Amino acid sequence: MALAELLASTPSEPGVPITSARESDRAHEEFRLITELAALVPGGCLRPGSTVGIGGGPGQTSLLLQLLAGPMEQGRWGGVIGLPELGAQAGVEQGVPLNHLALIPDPGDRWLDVTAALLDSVELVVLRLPRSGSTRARCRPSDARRLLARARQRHSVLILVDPHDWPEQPDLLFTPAAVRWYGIADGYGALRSQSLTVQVSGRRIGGRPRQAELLVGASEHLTDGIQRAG
Amino acid sequence: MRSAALWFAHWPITAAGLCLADPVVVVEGGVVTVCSPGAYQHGVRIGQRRREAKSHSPDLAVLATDPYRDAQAFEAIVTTLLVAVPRLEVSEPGLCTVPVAGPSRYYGGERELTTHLLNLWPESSGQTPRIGIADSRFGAYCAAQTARERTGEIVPTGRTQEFLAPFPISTLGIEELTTLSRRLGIHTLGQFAALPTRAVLSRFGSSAALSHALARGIDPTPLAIHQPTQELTLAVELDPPAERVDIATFTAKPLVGEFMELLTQRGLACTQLRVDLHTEHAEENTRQWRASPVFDSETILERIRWQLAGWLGSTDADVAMPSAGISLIRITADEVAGSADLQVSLWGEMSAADRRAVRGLDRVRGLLGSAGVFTVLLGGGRGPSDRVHYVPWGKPTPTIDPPMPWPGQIPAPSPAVLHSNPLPVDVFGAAGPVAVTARGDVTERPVRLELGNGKVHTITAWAGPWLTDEHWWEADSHRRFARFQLLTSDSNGSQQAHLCLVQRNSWLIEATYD
Repeated sequence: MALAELLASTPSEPGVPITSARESDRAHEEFRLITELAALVPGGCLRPGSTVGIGGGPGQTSLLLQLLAGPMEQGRWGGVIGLPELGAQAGVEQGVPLNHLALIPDPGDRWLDVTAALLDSVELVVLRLPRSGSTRARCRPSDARRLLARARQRHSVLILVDPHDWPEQPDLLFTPAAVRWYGIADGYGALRSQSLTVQVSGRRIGGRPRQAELLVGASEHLTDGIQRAG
Repeated sequence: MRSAALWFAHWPITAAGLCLADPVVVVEGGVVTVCSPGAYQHGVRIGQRRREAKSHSPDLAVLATDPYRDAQAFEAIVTTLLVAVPRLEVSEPGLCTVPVAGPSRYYGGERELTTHLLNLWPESSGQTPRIGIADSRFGAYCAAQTARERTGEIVPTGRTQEFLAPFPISTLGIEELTTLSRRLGIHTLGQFAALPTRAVLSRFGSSAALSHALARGIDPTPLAIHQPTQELTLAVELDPPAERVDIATFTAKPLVGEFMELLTQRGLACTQLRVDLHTEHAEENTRQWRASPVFDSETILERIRWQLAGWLGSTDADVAMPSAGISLIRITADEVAGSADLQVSLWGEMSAADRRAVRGLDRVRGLLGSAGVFTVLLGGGRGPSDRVHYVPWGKPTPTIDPPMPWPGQIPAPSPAVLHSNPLPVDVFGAAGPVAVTARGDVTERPVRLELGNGKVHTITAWAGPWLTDEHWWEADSHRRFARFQLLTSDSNGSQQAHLCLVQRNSWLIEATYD
């Protein structure tokens, strides 16, 4: 069935939008980060068509959610590939709206096709390369460049979790540097809020990495307390 | 489902009481939208400007579009037809479908049924339906269009796809699909039907998958159309009863809004609708309506208005006019489909980005199957993973426990990582392993967490236990356990918080506050 193959191989979306310089500025604004993270990045926004890495370590998942929260609260769609253990409840608490979120927990060996399809259609695409046995899948440099070209063309952002497996250097690299928890003590209290120190490095940052501290889960706790007290 | 379609060609002209042999056109916005055979002979065509049409045929009668007139007049047809068959669905004034199975047995065959139905309207009545019978509603409709006037077109069972093959792709009436297919060299329904369903779904998205089913001569099942398990019905009482169509329609407006909300909450879309009208004198009028692909609030309101106009305003002697005002309007979803498939057509207010995302996720579903893409709903429950419900993309939303404060629930914030396979660990105090007594006390203060891989973390703070006694009324699923939050720090001083579960003195890391 030659026709079916033709269908499968044609680029999937007709009519790639051609944007003027001003429009691409506006597109920029669509990826505005939450205040604390915005202070770390030139312009305060993720750039459409760029790649962002999230380094490993305690606090990695919260950092990912914080990164998604800003743009997704403004209505951007998020697709998360290869993170079956992501806690949706934490996502909601950290400002990620579920009605714009799709999860592809286990793409298996179709991860490349799935990522390409999502970059076509969803603004924020989170990818962790799937594990096959004990080793992670590898991305060939040529495939990585094709995905990047797609992201640039469709104005989407590719967020790589554990980017050291990735053949290319991401444009921005966010790393959770330290985590401190508050509210819990020796046998009483409970986890209340988390201070997360984030480091950013990358091409757009210049020589020295920048650093900021996020307070995660604090505001809700405070308003909760105020409501109860009132 | 094997169906018969009855199609009254040029219905708006017949509805106005004019003869099709005369030159008549219906004009909307200055453009001809319906053209009688009489006018066609003079060179009038659909799409011509009014002035141009007039120039072809000087004595041309020009009618304005009037959906009420069309609906009102069609009520007489429906009344006549309901004498002969028990059930029918009106698609629009001028077109309705009848399930064939029962009636054809009753009349002794499909040929006999066709003849019987045709004889309901003698040639002198000026109304002559074209009747087509095929394996699907769409097939029957296409057959009706090609049927000769007094005989009907019966497509043998199992041959509908073959019958539809030569029709042009534009028959489906979706402009986007027509253009796109033509560019790919697909011109007929036959060529389109020959494509593998999976390829169509992943390339064109689910609305095209629906068209693909139509082209293959089957009623679209990929959408999981089904009878609702719960009665999806709402009614409004009119007090005082309304005797005018506009007043009754106006009263029904909030009802329709509520109805749409009810469907949306369940992630459903209505594909077949029943409208019941009652009067003060207990007279009833019931009609079933079918929309393509689904009803939105505007189309529901339009069907109600049509039905009201048909009943209250009919001038036909065959239609029994109600003797009192309308006192109750009830709408029921007879058939529903999961709405994720239909979201694009269902919610007009979807942004371009939303449409794009829906298309992309359809495509991923095409790649991985429906167990590959999920959206998330939050419900009630104690444990962090009890609250999360994964809904396969394109499936109707399940009913879940509401997200309310549950007793025994661990307070926010929630862990960002839920381990799909909880990690077994050992927790030690100064004297030995830590356990939880039957009364829910800790035997000892926990100080050390040992992971399976030999790593040891110091516990710097802890909270709990939160006790849970689940399903104590059932011996099999009864679970009793305690939850703890443990804050650890490793040799570098880096902190990490875990949610642990203790059951029968074995510890598991259920989730991590990552």
